[in-house]
Amino acid sequence: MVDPHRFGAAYYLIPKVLGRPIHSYYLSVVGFWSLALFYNWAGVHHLIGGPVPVWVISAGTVASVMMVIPVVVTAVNHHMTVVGMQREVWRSPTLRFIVFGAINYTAVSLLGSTMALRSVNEVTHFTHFTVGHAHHGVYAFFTMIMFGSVYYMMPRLLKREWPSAFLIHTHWWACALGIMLMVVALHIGGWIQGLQMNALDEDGVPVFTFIETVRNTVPWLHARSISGLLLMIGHMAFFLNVFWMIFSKPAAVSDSKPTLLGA
Amino acid sequence: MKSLPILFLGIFFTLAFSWTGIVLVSHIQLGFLEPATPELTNAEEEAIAGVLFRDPDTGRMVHGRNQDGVQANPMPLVGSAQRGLRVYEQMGCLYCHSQQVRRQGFGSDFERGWGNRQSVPRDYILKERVMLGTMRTGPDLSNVGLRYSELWQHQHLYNPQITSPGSTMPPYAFLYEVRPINPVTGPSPIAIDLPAQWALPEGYELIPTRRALDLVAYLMSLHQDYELPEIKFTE
Amino acid sequence: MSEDSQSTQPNPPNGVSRDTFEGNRMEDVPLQQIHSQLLREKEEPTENFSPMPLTLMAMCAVLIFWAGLYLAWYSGDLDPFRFDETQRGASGIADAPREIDMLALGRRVYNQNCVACHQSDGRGQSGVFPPLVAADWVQEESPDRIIKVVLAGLAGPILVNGNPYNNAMTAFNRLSDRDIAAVLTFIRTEPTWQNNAPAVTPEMVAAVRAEFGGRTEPWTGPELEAIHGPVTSR
Ligand code: HEC
Ligand code: HEC
Repeated sequence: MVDPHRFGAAYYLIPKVLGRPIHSYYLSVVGFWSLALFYNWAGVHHLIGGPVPVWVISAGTVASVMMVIPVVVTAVNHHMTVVGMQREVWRSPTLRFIVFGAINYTAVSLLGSTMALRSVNEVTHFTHFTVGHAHHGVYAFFTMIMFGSVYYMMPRLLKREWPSAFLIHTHWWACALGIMLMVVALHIGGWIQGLQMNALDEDGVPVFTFIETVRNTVPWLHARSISGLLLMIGHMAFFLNVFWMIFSKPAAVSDSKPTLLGA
Repeated sequence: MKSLPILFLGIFFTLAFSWTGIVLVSHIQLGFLEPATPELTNAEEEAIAGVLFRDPDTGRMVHGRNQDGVQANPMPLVGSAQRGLRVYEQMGCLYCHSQQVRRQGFGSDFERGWGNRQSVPRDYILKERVMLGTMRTGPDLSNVGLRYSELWQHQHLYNPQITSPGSTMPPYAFLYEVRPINPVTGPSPIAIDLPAQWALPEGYELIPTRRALDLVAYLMSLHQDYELPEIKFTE
Repeated sequence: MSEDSQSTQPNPPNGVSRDTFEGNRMEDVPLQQIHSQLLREKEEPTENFSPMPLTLMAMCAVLIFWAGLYLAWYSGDLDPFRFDETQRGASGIADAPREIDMLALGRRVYNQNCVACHQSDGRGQSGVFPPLVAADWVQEESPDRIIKVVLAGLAGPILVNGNPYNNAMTAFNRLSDRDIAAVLTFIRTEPTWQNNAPAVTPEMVAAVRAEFGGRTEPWTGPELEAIHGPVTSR
């Protein structure tokens, strides 16, 4: 999946930009090998309740829960590297995005391990909860880290600075708020959808008709549309900034200072 | 980097471990499933419990033989239904519909009448593609062939509001053609009847395209209303 | 800086004084650019060697212990045909016959077979599919007429609650006696469906099937009337 890329990016860029070594070599080793051991097995958690034998699902559930080890270990490592330098993180566009991604990686992975438990999955499977989880992973952590990496690479490749701190600000706030809105809306909406879908009265009759459960997700999907709009604004700002940077003349020496964001 | 061989071996073994566990073992256990009847007999015509049994003479595991004259399930998709599977795939029905029934006591699939038993691996053999699905914006379709008539399916695809008022499913009207009735040959035999409220203007008829006919043939072929050696109907 | 060290510095190549030398270099734009590029960089990432915290080790131990328990409890004996993790012992069905709730079973059979026409609320579609809710056909004391309808289907003009219908219902002889009994029990006794008729047993269905099971064409209203007389709700 996207994890290995992200690990590479975060493990390189956080210490590189802060100029401070990664907290613990041992932790990264434990993180790496436990990830390699468990991650492949964890894929089966998409089939919980499905037409596969009990043992396959149990193996997937266990591996998904064991993913807590690499996740917590990595979280400790990143957190300890960053701790005490919050101001620098907040001022550097690269780190702001990357640390946001790293925090969300911890959140999305711990949630994912929970979702792999049979009793939780019974509710969340087949609902918008899973969709929210997928976006949490691929956007709030992977895409944001990639944005951070681009903020790092472009000035070095083009030998010129980001033209507008305002556009970086816009990009940051629109994307961070947008994706959080989407994740929260889909998680709540999906959880309600799953509970209503499974609700049976004492005679074993579904409490909600199917179409009621679907209709009840609509307000949450409206929230999702708004979040999509926010993300689009963020992407436009980012695009504009990149476009401007590529086609502007190289900056004069005097103002070739890294573009930082105000505290 | 002096630890490169260790790194390589380590990655190799962790990958081999999961590959053996998930792919290889599952393949050995389930890779050779065949259509079956609920009751199986061994070479001596004795009923046996499972699909595989140990031959007392050779000590090897062998497949049971189906009884004569009893339909073995599942049946392969043929003709129109087989093409319909492709249409189902192309139209993205998969994004909103699953085809897997969960067991009673796990979710409400059983209580909603989506199936008489949980789906098992054998239900999916002989299929070119397996449309398990991961999302249920719409109901599970494992047994939809039992629930509705072809006419209902056509009306529903043409406009879900006809059969399911308030539905959020998109209409697939582009799979149908509204045509003036041929004055010489009269109404087409395959024209779809619509309820009075949704009737077309006088002199027009609704004709399903090839793709609509295939898709509905596929939907009508979806059923898991048979028992298998490993799974009986839930009471 | 001491005089000594300054004197060891080589003279600028072209013999001009130091100040001018540096001043010249200030205007060397590419050089300054490379400088500023280098100055912003921090050293390549390295690692500290902080030991693994004890709490993390404890967490790993607890997780591994849990994993062992979970696998022992839910491994399903690695049986490829075990699909219910709550079930213990050999795979296959439990032997003891279980009590069947006819109303719940009937609702399921109904949801699976009848909703297409009679709708999930049982009210049908006016003029096309007759209602089953508060319907004189369903309320009859003896269920034999509607058992026949479900087994072989029904076609042609009929009256339900005095309203005319002229359509065709498919046959359901593929359903078992028990399922038919359950679905009819459900439509006759479900309180909100306002029929309040006696339940139907599988034996009743079996009796009708024994007598008329070979029938392939659907029944018609007049045919049923010839056997059972006109429809009379209780
Ligand atoms: C946007 C999501 C969506 C897509 C895409 C979609 N459906 Fe649906 N479908 C629904 C919803 C919601 C319902 C429930 C309401 C209804 O009956 O229309 C439904 C119901 C159905 C039903 C009736 C199931 C039952 O048991 O009542 C069938 C059959 C069906 N869809 C077939 C299809 C096919 C075939 C396609 C692809 C051509 C498709 N659907 C694509 C959302 C969707
Ligand atoms: C294909 C559509 C269709 C399906 C499926 C269907 N019915 Fe009917 N049903 C009809 C039609 C149409 C009539 C009226 C026939 C006529 O006009 O002669 C009818 C009539 C009846 C009647 C007698 C009239 C009344 O309203 O009381 C009963 C009882 C009945 N159906 C029960 C059922 C049951 C139980 C099932 C499910 C096992 C079922 N039907 C499935 C179409 C259907």
